[in-house]
This record gives sequence, C-alpha cells and structure tokens, in this order.
Amino acid sequence: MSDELESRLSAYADQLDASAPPISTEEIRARELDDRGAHPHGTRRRVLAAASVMLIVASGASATAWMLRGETDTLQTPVGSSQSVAPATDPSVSPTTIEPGPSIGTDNAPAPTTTPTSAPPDTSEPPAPELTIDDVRAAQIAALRQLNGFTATATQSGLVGDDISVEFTMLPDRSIWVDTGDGTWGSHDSSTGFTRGAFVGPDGQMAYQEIVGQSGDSSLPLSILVGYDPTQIVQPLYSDAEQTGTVTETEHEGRPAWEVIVTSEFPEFAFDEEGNSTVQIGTTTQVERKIIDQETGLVVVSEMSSSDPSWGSESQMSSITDISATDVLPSEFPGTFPDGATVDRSGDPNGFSPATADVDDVVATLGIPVPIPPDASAGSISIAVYPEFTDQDGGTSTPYAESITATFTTYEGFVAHRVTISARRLLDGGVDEFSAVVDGLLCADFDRDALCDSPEYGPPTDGQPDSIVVSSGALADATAVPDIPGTISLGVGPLGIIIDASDQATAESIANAFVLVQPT
Amino acid sequence: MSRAPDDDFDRFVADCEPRLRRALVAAYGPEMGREAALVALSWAWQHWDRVLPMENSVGYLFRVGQTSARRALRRRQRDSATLDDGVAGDGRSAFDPDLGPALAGLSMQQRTAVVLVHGYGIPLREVAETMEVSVATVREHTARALVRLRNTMEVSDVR
Repeated sequence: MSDELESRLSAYADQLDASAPPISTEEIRARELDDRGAHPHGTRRRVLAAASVMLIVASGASATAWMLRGETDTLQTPVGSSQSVAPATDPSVSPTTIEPGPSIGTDNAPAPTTTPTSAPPDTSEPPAPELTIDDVRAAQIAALRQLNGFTATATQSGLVGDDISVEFTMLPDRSIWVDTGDGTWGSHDSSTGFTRGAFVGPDGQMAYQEIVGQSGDSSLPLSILVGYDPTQIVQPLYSDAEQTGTVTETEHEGRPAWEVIVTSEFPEFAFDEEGNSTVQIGTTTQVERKIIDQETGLVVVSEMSSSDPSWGSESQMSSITDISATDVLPSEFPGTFPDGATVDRSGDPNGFSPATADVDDVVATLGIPVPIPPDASAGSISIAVYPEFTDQDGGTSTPYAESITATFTTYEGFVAHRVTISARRLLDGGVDEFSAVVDGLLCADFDRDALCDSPEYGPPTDGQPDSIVVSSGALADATAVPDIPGTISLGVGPLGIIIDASDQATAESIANAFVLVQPT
Repeated sequence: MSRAPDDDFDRFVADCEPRLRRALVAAYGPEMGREAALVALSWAWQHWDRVLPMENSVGYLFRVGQTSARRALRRRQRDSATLDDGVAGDGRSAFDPDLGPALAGLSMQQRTAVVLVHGYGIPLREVAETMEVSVATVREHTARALVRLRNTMEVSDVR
C-alpha cells in the first residue's frame, strides 16, 4: 500500500483512540441496561418458543402425517398447515421423532458457577446480535440433518403460461418421485443412478427419456419439474462480489421461518465490434429471496428477480406447500415406460459417472494405496475417467494422460458431504520439465525434485494462513487449507483431495478419519 | 442471568476491551462506537454465564455492539434527515479532511478491516476473530478498501 495512505490511516487511528478513550470496568458496572438493551427482534422469543416443538409421525392404517406437538395444546399444528397424507408404500412406518433445529441467538450452554455481585437487578432482555446468513445456515443444516424425507406440493410461477404445480417425494439420498397429475412424471433413483421422465414433447405427444449413471443428483427432475431444490443450504456471501444480505424472522403458512434476501450487483459493459468491453452502461441487480422453514430447514420459497440495462426486469418464484414427512417413496417409483414406447437414451454417457463403484474399484483404478474417507460404501461412490490430449483438436490424437476422479458421498439427513479424490495417469509420451511421474500418476513438480510437492492439486504444504494439519487417520500430518466454509483441500502425493462438507467442523472430522486401503 | 466475579471480569475487560472498542469505533465512529462497546461489555457483565463458555466472546460482543449501534443509527436517521451516515455524521471527517469522508464511503466491513489492520496494526487473525470472518475475508475487505481509498483520495501507490 502507499506509505502516505498508511501513515494517514495510522494517524487517524490515533485520533480515534483519543476521541474514544478506554472503557473502565467501573463505567461498565455503572451502566444499567435500559430500553436500548431490549431485544432487537420484538417477538423473536415468542416465535422461537412456538418453534420449540417436536415433530412426531402419526401413523395410521393408510396414512402417515407429520404433526407438531408443542408444550401446549395450542401448538397442535400440522407441518405446512396441512395434514396431508404421504403416498407411502409402507404404511407401517414406525413413529419417528425429529428434534427441531437449534434456536438462533439463544444460548443453551450450561451456566457456570459464578458469584453474583452487588450490581442492581436487571430484568431487561439481552441485546442479542442481529441474525446473519451464517446463523441461518448453521441452523438450517442442523434441521436438515434431522429430516429423513418428505412430500410436498411445488408451484412455479413467473414462467410463460400458467403456474405449474406438482406433487413430489424426496429422500435424503436425493431419490425423488415427481407426479404432475396429468400423466407425466419424473424420477431419480440414487441407488441405481437412473433418471427417468415421461413428458409431453414439442409435438404434443408423450415422450420418454432415461439417463443412466447420474450419481446422487436429482437436479434434472428437480429443476425441470419442481423448479428448485428445496433442500439447498443458504450460502455465505461471496467475499469477492458486491453482495449484501439481510435476515429477518417471519412466518410462512403459520410456521416460524427466516427470510433471507441477498442482493448482488454486477456491472454491465458495452462491447465494441471486436468484443472488447468499452464503457459501463449500467448495473445488473439480482435479488434472491428465500424463506426457510425453521423446523425442517426446507427452503419453502425461492424467488429470483433481476433487472439489467439490456433486458429489463424479470422474476421467477417457486415454493412448496403442504409438507408432510415420509421416509419411503410411493409405489409408482421409479416409474415404468409403456410397452413399445420409444425411450430417448441419448444422454451423453460421458456426462455422468456410474454410482455403483465400491472402494476396491477406486483403489484398483488408481493403482496405488488410496486414503479413503470414512463411511464409504457402494452405491455412494462414483468414478469418472476422462482422456487428456496434448493438443486442442478435440481428441483426434492419442490421449497422453487420463484424469481420474472418485467421488464419495455421505448423507446426514438431507445434508450431503462429498469427498473427491483426483489424479492423472500418464498414458503416452513423456512429461515436461515441471511434472513428475510417481507410481504412474502425474503431478506438478515445479522445483524439479521428482516429488509431488507442488501445489497443482492442493495447497503448498506449509506457510499458508489458516492451514489445518490433519491429526489422525490416513491423512495424518497432511496440511489442509480451508476454502469456503466447509470445504478444505489437500494434496497427498499425486492425489488431490477435496472435502466438501456442510460445515468446517464436519470437514475436519472427515479429514481426520480417512483409512488407507491397499490395492489387492 | 448472572454477573461476573469482579476479578474475572476485570481480566476479561483488560483483554477484550481494546479490540472490541477499536473495532466498533472503526465501524461507527468514536461516539457511537464507544457507546456500542459499552453496551456490549455491560451486557457481558450482566450475562456472564453466557459469555464464559463462548469460544469467541469478542466476536459475539462485536455483534452485540453492532446491534446497539445500528439501532442508534436508525434513531439518529429518524431524528435528523441530514445525517444519513453515522460515520460522516460522527465528526470524524474533522480528523482528516479527505480520509474521513473516504472511509465513510466504504462498507462497514471494509472500513472496520482497513482501520484495524492498517490504522491500528492489529494482526489479520485477531481482526478476523473480532469480525467473525475468515482471514481471507479480512484480507479481501482490506484490499478493496485500499483500492477505494486510493481512488477516492487520489493517493498515488508508492511501492
């Protein structure tokens, strides 16, 4: 930075100190909290008290519905304001209890032994900090961890034509069944990786499609038929974007909820004939509004609106109502195609990776001892192998290397944690002077010592701020660097490992529990 | 609710007060920031049982102070339509005729970060803890703040 600016900032800080002298303990004790110390959210305690109820499955001969049981009779309210019947194939679902998500801004820590002083009695509410997006994110994750499946009605508006409503059922592994009610449907079966759909084609006739090997990914039926993912976790604000975020307590269908509004601004530029940006012609403003049900953590309203100098304003909103809990999919799942129907199976098979690999497959594919994340099991592991070419002709030459990525997914309720292990194998030809080959796998070697110690896949091994040294398991002593909250990456020899968990503590817990598996 | 034992609280204030006060003063100006720090520390004294188990009590109290300051800011805006910025309206522009208004044009987080890091010379990690953000975020806020300050004040970048 400039010397001049730094010296002026330093002088400015000195002046601040002189204008705001230290606060003594006597001054603190003399201060009696008055109305200024009142709770910033006038009704927040009441609302949260109403939210402190248990969800209990009320089982019947043919119905399973979520009911709220509060501490008083007045809290007997159905989830989503409707006692809807879940289309379960197994009506004898045993009663299940879901603890509600934590109450933000309250402190459940045990009270330590303290000695009261002679200070005057204080009956005021604490000036609890205002809610932040990180607060909501943490509480939403806690709630989603306890949710084992649900049915709901999704409605999309702001599209061309009328609003669209569908019923759907979703389980934590992202298996989903969507019924539009007019003969069309969509499904994703995470146990097989099959995504299927029956829909009305451009010619007005029924059309059928099947995509195989889509691991743990319901995005297709979700985006097309539901409009959004109601289990999406609110994201922290990007530090490199012009974003602002607000959080308020609200109610949705009579249930406590948080409303999160994130406003982002992007500069819009005019371009000359050569495609170079010239002058800024305005700003695109994008407003994303989400309402999150406090009890379940589900995003019950997702609205996106934007305005820009070129296209004007547009808005689209999706919401879910009539939420009821179930942990089984309806009997129609995963859907069958009529006899003789033409099924489009042209989905690019390279675009998806099979979800049916197991740990031995991963180790065999990489050909070296591999640190494997905890709780890895068949059905949650996918392996993708792509060729790499030395030129940019799209693959007319012989690939000189192949990229290997193994993805491990585990679930806690609707909260997913993913670990990816990546490597590149040399297939043909030599390597450049800044690469090394170790156990047949390529890695960066900028210091040319024939070791995989350069930060191609992971961070430098030391000297990084915020670095975490893994303390146990197969990754013990490896250095990990946090990225966005819940994501850390590290390099182990020729392997690049990225742990993408819901939160930092979980990511570190996973990092400390890897197990080394040898090739057979 | 329980209040802190005197000795414990004295040590707590000695440790936390400078960081908390400076952060809130950087964000909201000397008058409003100091008052916010006083409210936050008073709350800590009266709710010692909540503060004691906290891993980052300074970060929590910073947010308590923010709540107090924002409320005061809203009250001030309501009372005087001409005061649309608590910082500029706090008399700080008298310190440095260019720097004060330029700082007032930054976001609260940018202003807090740059004053703490480059004004007070507080380590990034301590600033991050106080603001309850990552070190990378503090670095980002600081870098953006410096760019804006340079542009606003037309200070040349001498390396």
